[in-house]
Amino acid sequence: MKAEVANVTPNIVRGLWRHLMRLYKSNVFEKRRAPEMYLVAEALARLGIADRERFMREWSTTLGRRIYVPFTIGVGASSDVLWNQIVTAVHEHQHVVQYEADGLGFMGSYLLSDAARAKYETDAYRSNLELHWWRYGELLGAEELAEKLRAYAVSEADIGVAAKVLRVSGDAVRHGAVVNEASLVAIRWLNANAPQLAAQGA
Amino acid sequence: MERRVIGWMYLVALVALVGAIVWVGLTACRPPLLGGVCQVGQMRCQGNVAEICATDRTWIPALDCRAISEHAGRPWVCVALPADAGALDASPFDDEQFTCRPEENVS
Repeated sequence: MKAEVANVTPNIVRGLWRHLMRLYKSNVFEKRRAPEMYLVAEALARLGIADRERFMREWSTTLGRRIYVPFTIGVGASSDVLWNQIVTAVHEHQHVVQYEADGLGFMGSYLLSDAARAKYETDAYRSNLELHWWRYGELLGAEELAEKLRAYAVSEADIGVAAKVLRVSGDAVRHGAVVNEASLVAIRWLNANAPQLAAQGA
Repeated sequence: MERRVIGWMYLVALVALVGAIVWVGLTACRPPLLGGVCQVGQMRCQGNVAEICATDRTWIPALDCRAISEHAGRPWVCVALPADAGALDASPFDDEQFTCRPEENVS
């Protein structure tokens, strides 16, 4: 199924990032060039939330309206890699939406409460689900997606709750819902600027 | 003698008052001790939002049908997950699940 979809180009990736950044007044930085990220990596490692190396090499991070990514936007070896940069843009901007809604409480509870961290990440991973549906017309497995929360040092029960939220979210999405604000903004932009990337009928 | 009786009555009244304050404090500032705490993973529809009981035993939104309605420009409603959702992953919990569906599709 994936072989039939059109390729993502660097310009589409850059265009969507620019659009989201303008709309949400966010700034994007390359993680390895941001000294503050080394401090955050150390703090998260000490709190037992994230592995230092993986945090720097693989994770994108959002602090308020500052987004740190472990890649150069629009640079990728394949269409799938570039598509992942689009999904990352939407996922991280959903964290900006959460920050706008909950303010500093978002950052505090994200760090200090497993349940809150699971809630915020589940909400952001719903964007991955929504974007995947738009592009491929397939639902990502709720269990598989919820398993990603394991890297955020949440409990087994939190992962179970996340799976259930993502399961019912998948049900709504396949009936045509777009739940997350960042997904809605991105899908509107993609429909207008890169409709060839969408699954037929999405 | 009379003074001692009055003293005892005063003490009993004081204990009753303190007890009443403690009881009111315990029952008025949080959900009732029995039946008010949600079970982790339990779901419900509340004000057109599908809510789930998180691991800290608080209700949190799982799916906000009001937001979906706003995004879609047509009404979506909170409903129990129907039997036609069987193709989705199995749930880690056995109890009822709730989702949002377009109002026109709900009988």
